Amino acid sequence: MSVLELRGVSKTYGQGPAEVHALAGLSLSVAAGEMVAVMGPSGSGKSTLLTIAGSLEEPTSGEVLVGGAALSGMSRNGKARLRRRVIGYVFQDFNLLPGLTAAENVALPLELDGVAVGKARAAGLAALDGLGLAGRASRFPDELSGGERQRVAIARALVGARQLLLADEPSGALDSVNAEDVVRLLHEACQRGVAAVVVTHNAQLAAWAGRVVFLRDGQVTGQTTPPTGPESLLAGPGQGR
Amino acid sequence: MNTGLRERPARAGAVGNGGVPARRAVIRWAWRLFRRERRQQILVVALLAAAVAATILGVAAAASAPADLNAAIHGTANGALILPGSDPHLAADIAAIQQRYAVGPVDVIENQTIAVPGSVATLDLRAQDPYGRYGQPMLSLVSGRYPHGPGEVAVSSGAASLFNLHIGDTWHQAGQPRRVTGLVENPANLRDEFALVAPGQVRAPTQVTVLFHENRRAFFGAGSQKFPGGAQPMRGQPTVSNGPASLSPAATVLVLAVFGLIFIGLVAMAGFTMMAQRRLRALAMLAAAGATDRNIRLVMVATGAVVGVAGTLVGAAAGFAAWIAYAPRLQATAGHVIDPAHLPWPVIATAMALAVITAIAAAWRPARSAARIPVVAALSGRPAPPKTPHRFAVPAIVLLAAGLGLLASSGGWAELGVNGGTLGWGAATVYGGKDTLLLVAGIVATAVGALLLAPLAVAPASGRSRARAGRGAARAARPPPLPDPVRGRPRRSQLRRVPRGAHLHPGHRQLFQPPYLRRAQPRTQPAHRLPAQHHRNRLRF
Repeated sequence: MSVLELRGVSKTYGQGPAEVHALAGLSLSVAAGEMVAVMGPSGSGKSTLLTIAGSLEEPTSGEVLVGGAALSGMSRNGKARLRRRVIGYVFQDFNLLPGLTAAENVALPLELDGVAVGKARAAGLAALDGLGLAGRASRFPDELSGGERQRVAIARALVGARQLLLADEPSGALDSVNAEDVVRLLHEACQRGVAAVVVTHNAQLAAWAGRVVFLRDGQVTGQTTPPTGPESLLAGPGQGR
Repeated sequence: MNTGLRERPARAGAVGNGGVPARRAVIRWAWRLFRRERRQQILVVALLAAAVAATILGVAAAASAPADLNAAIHGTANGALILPGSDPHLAADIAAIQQRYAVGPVDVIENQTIAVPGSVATLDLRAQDPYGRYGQPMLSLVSGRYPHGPGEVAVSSGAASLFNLHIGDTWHQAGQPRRVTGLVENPANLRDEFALVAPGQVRAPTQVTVLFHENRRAFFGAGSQKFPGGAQPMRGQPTVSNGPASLSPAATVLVLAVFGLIFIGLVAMAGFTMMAQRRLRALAMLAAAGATDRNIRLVMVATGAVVGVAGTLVGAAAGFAAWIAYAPRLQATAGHVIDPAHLPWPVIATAMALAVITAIAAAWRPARSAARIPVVAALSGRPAPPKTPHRFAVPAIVLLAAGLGLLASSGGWAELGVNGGTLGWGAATVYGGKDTLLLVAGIVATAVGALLLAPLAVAPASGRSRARAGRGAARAARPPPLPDPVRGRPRRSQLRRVPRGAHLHPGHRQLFQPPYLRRAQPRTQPAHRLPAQHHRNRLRF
């Protein structure tokens, strides 16, 4: 069953001469446990695809289903509930809330969902522990390194029973070692059954994905299914891609 | 890594907005943000604190400064008759007064005016029971003790300095020695200088005052008939009126404070708008994490509440400190004892609550606007396109008219005359009631109406400014002057006529022009004639 399904989704910004088609009839389906990398040049609609899939933005036309539920008929509160329970979002620039510790940041979606503070905090700590950040739980975002912040953001995106992980250039602000770590964490989450859509410009990181989708001018221009594992990069031309 | 949490909120009501845990999390974050950004809140906190402090000081002074003249001359009695000291049947007349006009016992005060040697001034030698039923509020012991026997006296501070007396001294008055046992005062009138002796110790009273709780029907029924022994009723302050109720001084200060708070609220709203703008990205992160619109509004409203409470507490501390420091000075000026703790607490509590409400109300609109901004726009830092502001012409006029009508029907600020509408003494002064409500409602409605009407009054002026700006733009659009054919550049006299920036390329000129000129520009260069790329650059993804 598809966790995320986009059917003929279009998104147009502006009106008249300033009209820009960010997405043009895009269709995409992501199954549970699948990791999909989205690549394409700037302005091809990658981020728009994620924001629409994450219910942060409305498509101009088309249908988006998350966990089988159509977003079009959902109220703002319903979408917020979906973001708390089903969708985890990882941004390029971490987007941790200032003033909250790492543990509080991770526990926040659970608390917003009505889980008692103690239990939410315990789940947050467990998530941080799983990412090797238990010792940094009481630190504020500005006391963490870039890699640590992104791992905290991933922990926040995964905490609870999330089914869909949307990552917009999650390694864009990181060095190669941290970037590799972050993508490995995303890959591990997918192996546990989470569906993930990762926007990236980095082909090496895209190689971790089960499928790579190429976008151009808001349309899917191609899809590949590389052999599993990063060793596919070492493969010769014409093999697997 | 296992981060799964299968437990979900048990209560159905918590599903939509996360219930108490969500509110607690949001308020905790708002509190942390307030602590981090406290320096940026100083202006609003200071304004609220100043308003609260000024209100507390003003209310305290306004409530304490007016003297209760009735208490100064007849204590708590609501009836008083003055008998001449020369009355040969003094005891019988007092008994008659008690029997006919009084309900319960009477309190008798004997006064004798005595000359001060070497001066034209006189002093009142007063025989009064310090624990008398009605006269007790007229006496207070400053030090020592009250006189008990025939050879004892207590004096006021003025009398003590007049005769250079101290506690334990002996005062020879009219050949009779009296030992000074204490210093006393009339708390309701500190300028009342007298010497107090025990009841019955005045040999030749000039007048005798009989205080009692009057039998109203008998007292007023007496009308023009003579009271026993030629007694005269004591005139006091009117206490009950059948005219329009006037606003108490404390309530007047509160009304003025409401005006001040309205304007502080506008400043605070601007401050909270700036704060919301600064926090826009963080609020969008919260929304992306699953916060509802209500949660996002709560962040700003909670901040408003924190700012309001902080300002109110600081202002209250400052106001009470100022009042405690000022009360002794006011006491000396007002001429009566002021108890710093005897304040109109409900009025002060109302003022403090209004300050908190002002801050919350000021934060509400920015909170609502922040919650409505699309998450993606907020995350990317793209500001929402400005909307044409609503001009509340009809509500403003209705409010202003209603406010003025309410003010007119409330009786305005008219104070009652001292001798107007006298019904008796001693009863509590009547303030407030329906007329006061009308007055307060009228003031608030007038203020809000004026506030809403202000932009309409400003609009014509800004229209003239825009027209001037448009003419400036037209001048700027003129072609540059032709160069001097000899020198190959414009003449100096021509350059002086050239508007600033006219030599620039039109695209560059736009960059250096103020926004109102830029708005006027499309009239001279239609959008459809701009290069297509120009439009494409307006949006970025």
